[in-house]
Amino acid sequence: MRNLRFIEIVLGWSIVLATAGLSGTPGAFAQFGPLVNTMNAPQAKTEEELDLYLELAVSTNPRASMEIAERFAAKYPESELLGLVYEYEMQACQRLGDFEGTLRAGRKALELLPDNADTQLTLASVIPDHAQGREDSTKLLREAEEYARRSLRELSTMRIPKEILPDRWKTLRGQLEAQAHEALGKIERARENLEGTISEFALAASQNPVPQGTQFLELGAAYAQARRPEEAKKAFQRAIELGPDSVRGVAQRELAKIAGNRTP
Amino acid sequence: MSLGTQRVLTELAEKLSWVILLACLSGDCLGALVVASPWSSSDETPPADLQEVKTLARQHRWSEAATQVDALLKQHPDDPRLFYWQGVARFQLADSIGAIMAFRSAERMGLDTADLHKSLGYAYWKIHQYTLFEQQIQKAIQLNPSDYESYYALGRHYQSIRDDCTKAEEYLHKAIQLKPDQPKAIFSLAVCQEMLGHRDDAMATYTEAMNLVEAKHEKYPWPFQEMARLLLSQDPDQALKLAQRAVELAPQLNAAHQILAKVEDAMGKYPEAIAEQLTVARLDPSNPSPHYALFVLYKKTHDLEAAQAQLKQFQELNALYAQP
Repeated sequence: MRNLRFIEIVLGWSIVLATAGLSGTPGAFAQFGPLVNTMNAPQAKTEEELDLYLELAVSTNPRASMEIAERFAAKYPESELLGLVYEYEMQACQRLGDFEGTLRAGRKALELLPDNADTQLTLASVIPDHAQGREDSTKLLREAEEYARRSLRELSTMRIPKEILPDRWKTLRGQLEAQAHEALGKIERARENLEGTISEFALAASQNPVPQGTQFLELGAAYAQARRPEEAKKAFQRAIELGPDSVRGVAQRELAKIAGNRTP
Repeated sequence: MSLGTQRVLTELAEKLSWVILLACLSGDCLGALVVASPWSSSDETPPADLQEVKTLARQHRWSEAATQVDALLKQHPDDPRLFYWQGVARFQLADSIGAIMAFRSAERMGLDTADLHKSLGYAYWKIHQYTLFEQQIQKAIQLNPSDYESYYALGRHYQSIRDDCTKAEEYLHKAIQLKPDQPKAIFSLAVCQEMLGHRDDAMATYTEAMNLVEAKHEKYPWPFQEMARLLLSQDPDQALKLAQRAVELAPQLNAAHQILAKVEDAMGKYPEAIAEQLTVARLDPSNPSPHYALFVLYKKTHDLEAAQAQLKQFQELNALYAQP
């Protein structure tokens, strides 16, 4: 599960949208929020094509979303909306825990919208969770790293619509960069590179303008694994402060383990 | 794009923040127009309880109207007019997607009125589906060829989105034929004339729009601004009066302050120009152009520290925001 909810923004392909407060259904309508260039918005050629796209956009059932996305792709293979349809399919597969489907749909989305930072970050985050123990693990992790680094490059040069004010963008960009570093941390962890893991998780946790308990929890775990109990303790304590409850519970158990290890 | 249009566009880009104008033109396209749609000519024999929805709509109590329509739809799920009204309420509640889905339901159930097509078109426009917008407005025109709004909306659309001033002119002329006293349509026509290189015609049309604004006591500053810009080199005193009038009509409109600042700058009134550009920067915080103007103005007044600070802000914003 992504720590940062991209339901609030979708980045890339010259689009940034901030749908919360605009559409009523945050994040669902990638190309319908503020655009850098409205003239370049993907156009449905027929009302029926848009009907089906909107059906997908408002769908809250991931299985239904997958079915609609597949129907859309079969019916409108030349649609300008197809890249976004695959992105929805990727998100639906992710919600269903279907890694292969997530990967397949995400790759298709990036074929059509190669600069879509949302898709890049989703794949970068998901791949390391499933790469271990697979024959193609090394290749997959390299792919995930490429996505994370591309998203960071994209974020550093991205032009945004004027509706998003500079301060708001600063926060959003910080959150997204933190997510990219978190993904890189997971990739390094899967590669069993402990120093790299700590370095990336530390960047994610410390640079996020909206600090996340999960990121401090991951950092604490990495420190604990590296036998750096004081730093681990601080990170777990911060995770407990930030929550949510599921994070808090794990962090408390980890803290107790550290304390237990010290007890003679 | 013709050479004439390119020339005018270049001139505009230099002298005025064109994107602001386009945003403003586009912005009001879907503002006032849809508010007018509740009075549907197709609803002459509505179910008795639909009157309450219409009353709520006239009072702009959209949330309550939406609730009322949803309740009625439970009792009359086959009534396409209720889906139409659901669409209108959702549109007004800034739910363009919900509006489209409701309007499409009405359409699929057989409702075929100019108001439905126009409203659906506006909702498409709102989510940047311009091809579908054009199709729907054309359908609305077929069903009601004497509807000013449809021609005006198409005119504005072709001018601001399609960059096709020839077509825009055609629709705006029709709109003006139907309602000759609408300053917004006349102003839009003047913009088209200017973009097509017909400067004298444009000036005459801006003047006509200004006269109408004054006669009708409307708060519509755009013709004053554009006329001020055009007069700047030949009659700066008159340009200043017009720019000041634009600010008076719309004190919260950054573009009005920007024109005034440019006029004051050209007249050597640097402190006044600085004050206006600071207002522009406050009203439009993502716009880099006032910061560059301030950089230049502070340099002129030998305040190099302030100039450098403004240049830095300009560079930061310019790197972040797409330019027109």
